Amino acid sequence: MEHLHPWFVAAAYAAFTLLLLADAALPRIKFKSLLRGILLRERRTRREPETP
Amino acid sequence: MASAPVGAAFAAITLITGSIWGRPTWGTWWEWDPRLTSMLVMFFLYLGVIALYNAIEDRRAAARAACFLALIGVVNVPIVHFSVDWWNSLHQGETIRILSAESRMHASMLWPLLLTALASKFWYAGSLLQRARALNLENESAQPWARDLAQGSR
Repeated sequence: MEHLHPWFVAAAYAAFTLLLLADAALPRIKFKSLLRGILLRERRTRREPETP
Repeated sequence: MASAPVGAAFAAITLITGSIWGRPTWGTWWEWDPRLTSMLVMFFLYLGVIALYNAIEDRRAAARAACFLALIGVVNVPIVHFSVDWWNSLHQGETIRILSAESRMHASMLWPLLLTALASKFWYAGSLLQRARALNLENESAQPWARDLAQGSR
């Protein structure tokens, strides 16, 4: 391992961390935006009911 | 479908960190080596499954089409695994033998590797459940339980 420059090790860890963070964050963000979408649709339906 | 993005993320991590390791070790960022190439094909297969699923409007038809592509992609798994034995490549041959004989990897590297492999399985399970939860909510967003959940989250 001595031949590995610290910058290469740091870059590998940075890429690893960034991709894992994205993998953890994306489904949570999607879930929250879906909940927000459902709420907005509910409000719209209450304001403008589909059937008169 | 919840599994494909996790697989794509892990494949990307493998390719990027492997490339960063390859530069000082092999003197090149990339080589059309059988293991690297088959892993790149695997990454594109994951992207293909995700793209195919999102390209079709009918969710059931989309899931079926993505499932067929995923089944075709399974053929690539043994190719990735055995590529270092089937072809001459920059990669060393098999180093870990769990069942047959003693492993050729030093214990100082073997145990951290096995622990990381175990940890990545747990990560995969957690990420899969998160994505399955979001997919379930997306498909069932008109159901009363989804509306209750949305109102409870305010």
